[in-house]
Amino acid sequence: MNRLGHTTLAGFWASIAALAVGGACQRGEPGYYGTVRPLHPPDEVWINNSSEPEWIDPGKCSDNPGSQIIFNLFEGLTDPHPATLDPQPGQAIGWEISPDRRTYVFHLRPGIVWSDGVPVTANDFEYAWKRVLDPKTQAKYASSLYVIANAAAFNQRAYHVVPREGPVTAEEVRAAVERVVPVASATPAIDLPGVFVVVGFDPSFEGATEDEQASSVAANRARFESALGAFTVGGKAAAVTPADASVVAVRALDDRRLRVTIENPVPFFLHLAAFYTMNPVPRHLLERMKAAGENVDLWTRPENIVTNGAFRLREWKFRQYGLFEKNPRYWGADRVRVERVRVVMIESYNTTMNVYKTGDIDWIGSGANVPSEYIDRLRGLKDFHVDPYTTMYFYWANTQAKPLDDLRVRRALWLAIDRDAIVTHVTRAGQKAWASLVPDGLAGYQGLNLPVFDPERARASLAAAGYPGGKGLPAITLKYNTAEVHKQIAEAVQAMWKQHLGIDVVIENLEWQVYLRDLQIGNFQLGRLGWIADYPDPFNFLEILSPHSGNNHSFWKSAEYQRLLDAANAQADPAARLATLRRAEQMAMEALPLLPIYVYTRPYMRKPYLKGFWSNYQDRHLWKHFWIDPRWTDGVPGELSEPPPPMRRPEPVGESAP
Amino acid sequence: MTRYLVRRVLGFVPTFLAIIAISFVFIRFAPGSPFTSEKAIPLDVRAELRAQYGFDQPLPTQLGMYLKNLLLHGDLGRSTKYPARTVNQLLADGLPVTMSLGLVALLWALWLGVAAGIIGAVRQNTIWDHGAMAAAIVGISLPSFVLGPLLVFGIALNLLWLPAAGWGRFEHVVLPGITLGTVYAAYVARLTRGGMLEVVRQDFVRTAKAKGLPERLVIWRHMLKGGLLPLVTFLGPMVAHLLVGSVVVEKIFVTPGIGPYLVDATFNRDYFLVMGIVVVECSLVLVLNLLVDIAYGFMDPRVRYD
Repeated sequence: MNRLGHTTLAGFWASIAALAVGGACQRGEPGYYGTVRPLHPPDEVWINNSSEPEWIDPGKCSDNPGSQIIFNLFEGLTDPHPATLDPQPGQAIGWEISPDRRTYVFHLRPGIVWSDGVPVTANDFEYAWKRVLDPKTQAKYASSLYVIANAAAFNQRAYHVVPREGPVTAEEVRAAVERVVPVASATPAIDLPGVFVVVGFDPSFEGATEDEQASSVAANRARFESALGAFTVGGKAAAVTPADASVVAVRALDDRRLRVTIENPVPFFLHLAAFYTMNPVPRHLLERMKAAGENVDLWTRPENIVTNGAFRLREWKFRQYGLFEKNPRYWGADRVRVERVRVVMIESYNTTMNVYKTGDIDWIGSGANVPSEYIDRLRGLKDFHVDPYTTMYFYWANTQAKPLDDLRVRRALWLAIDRDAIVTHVTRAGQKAWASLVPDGLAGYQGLNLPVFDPERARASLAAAGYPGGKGLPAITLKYNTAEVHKQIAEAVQAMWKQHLGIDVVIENLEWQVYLRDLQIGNFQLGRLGWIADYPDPFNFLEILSPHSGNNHSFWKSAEYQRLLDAANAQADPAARLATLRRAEQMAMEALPLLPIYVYTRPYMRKPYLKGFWSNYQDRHLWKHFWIDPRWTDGVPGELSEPPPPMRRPEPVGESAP
Repeated sequence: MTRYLVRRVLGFVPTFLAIIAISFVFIRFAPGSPFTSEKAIPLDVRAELRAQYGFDQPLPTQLGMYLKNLLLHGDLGRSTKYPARTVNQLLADGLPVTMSLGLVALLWALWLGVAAGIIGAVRQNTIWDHGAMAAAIVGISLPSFVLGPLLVFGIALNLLWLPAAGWGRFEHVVLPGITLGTVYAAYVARLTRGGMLEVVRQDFVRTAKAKGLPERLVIWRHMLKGGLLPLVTFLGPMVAHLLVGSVVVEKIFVTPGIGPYLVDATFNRDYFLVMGIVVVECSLVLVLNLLVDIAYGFMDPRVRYD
């Protein structure tokens, strides 16, 4: 979800790019961009990390620069295979999965320690996950852990309503609470008695900013708590307590075993277990700093930090560079071939290209983009690569704004976008024209593969809506956040709609924060966004259309759609689940709350001597697989070598221990 | 002189407070919040974040708190973009970097500009004069986002003489210093030439020449003092600009100074960082203007501060 592109004088940069690429042959090897000999010893790697991370605390991080560091400093229960990203044993050496596929017991690898020698225990994981879910921690990505049973209740400050006698349904509790305050959600507690109720904001705050909604929620909570004395459910007394960390279904059974129950038997939990938000944090360090009265936020400073991953932090120069060295206490340290990694923070894409050319970085890093004006000239160079990347580019349609409240208008717009022309002539880096929400190939999901362009049907649909030839159509504005690439795409789409539908759409660029605010409060008709997959599952994309999702900006709220999502996730059979998800996607694409355009790719530069680098769909490349081949030449086996074979994965065994 | 100084410094107080109050309120008019992202943040997490920074309080209360912390403790608050750091730390880290870059740019601008200006004035209407002034026009018209990449392309990427970006050694400061200073050098050259032409036909210069002083001494001892007066006026805002840095130059050369902060912090709605830059910039301009006025007293015998 990075902001792509920079507003620069594109033409000027294009000419500099031409000069720079043209000069490529003067210095260094022909066929490559710049020098092809490492400027550093062969046990070192130099990388760009794009910008100073907000946090390198796994629990608090929510940005790409932070995640790139965290993935290498910390390791989760599972570890992604470098090419397939399939979960392999990481800090856990194996796991048992219950027959209903909801309860996991992870067995930690024997002998694993933090970089200070203190053992990594199951307690560190329980502590880390509950810390993320505690709203006081201010973890922006806390919702990545909502997959754990009852986790959302703790993070959303739900009330746990337990009747003094007899069972009670979520609907009864919702009705009882709604007599006092609005309810955002009421869900049965999982494996616990009672119901979790999240107090909502007043209906008048629908379409207000999140901050205004939050203050309404706070006021309603106070009102609810003051009315608790007389609170009953269906005339029966009920105990109401705030949901605390104890309700979250994760528990260290002992030092080596961690038991987790997830809300639904979703197949991606092992993938998620490798995601940085689920990395452990050193409980002993955080508690020691807290006891000493120190600022615990500073635990990731070089003088404090301890890590459990393949690398440890040696030095950090704010907004300049970070120096990392191999963590000799990492369980797989004998297979890590890089001793030192130097990471620089260069935000400008053009400067990144310059320092790549001079050999001051070996790889431009996953935060930097090759500027689009370079791409045509780099094509054909052997260190220019394009990898697939499961990220969707689309336009939100505000289904409450005229004339987009008419499905036939949305369909006309959707059909009249010539996506092939956009990826061929505008974005130009091998993107895949795609007219539905979920890209192909996620966990075996077969995408809808809808017709990408049909001007005939588009015109018919517009005419059916009462605007033949676009006559009488109310004005439509397409908004996007300021960036060269978004502007070019918007202009192309604008021209296509003019040509095929005869309508004049206004395009408007907005500064990022203003743009997000407009999306949030529904002050738009069409607005662009990109959505990246955090884990390989169609649900990752489909959930943004959930009526409860804070990421759904379309105002299309379908209970039936949510029912399909819930039904899919309750299915333990992966094939049946994917089939249900596919029905949900079909339903969404018949309603068209968004107009998908293409699936991203990742163009990047990597020096030929940097080995151990395999393409994967998330552009995730861990340093522990890297190695430097100073004697590289074209065609030697080093370049052709296969990624490591997958580790043996433990088979699920029967019902787990208590 | 002392009374003048006290009066001037006291005059700063309302200006300073007004600038702070206006900026503090205006940045909040910008739509959005420091905690907005495309992936929705849970409402309670947002509320905790806002409460931690005091953004849930009424704006006048926040302004009062800010002024109190600033004036009593020198505390500029905490950044929302770099949450583990205070604005004081960010400025303490970045200001020396930007100032050393600014100093190099200043020396480059003065050396090049004054030399060109003197040549232009002394050899008025010769090829030297026209050449220097043509170069100055080019320098003024050449923005740093053009000059910077050109220097990088020529000197760093092709000749490999200097690094293309980075910070830490002296060679890192050369290209950004030249990029930043050149446009000012051009202004300095034109101002110097103009000022020198003012004095070149004055009686005291003619007298000095008539005494048989060599031209070099006439220029250094007699002409420069008067001839540089217009430049001194310009020096205040120029030094202030150079010392608070340049977004463009610091981005191109990846200089870890405070140059990009104002723009980036505004885009990120990093309210306290924006205010921190405003406080620094505003103090610098006020102080430097005062210094310029004082310098006038020394350089121009007609100016008195009593």
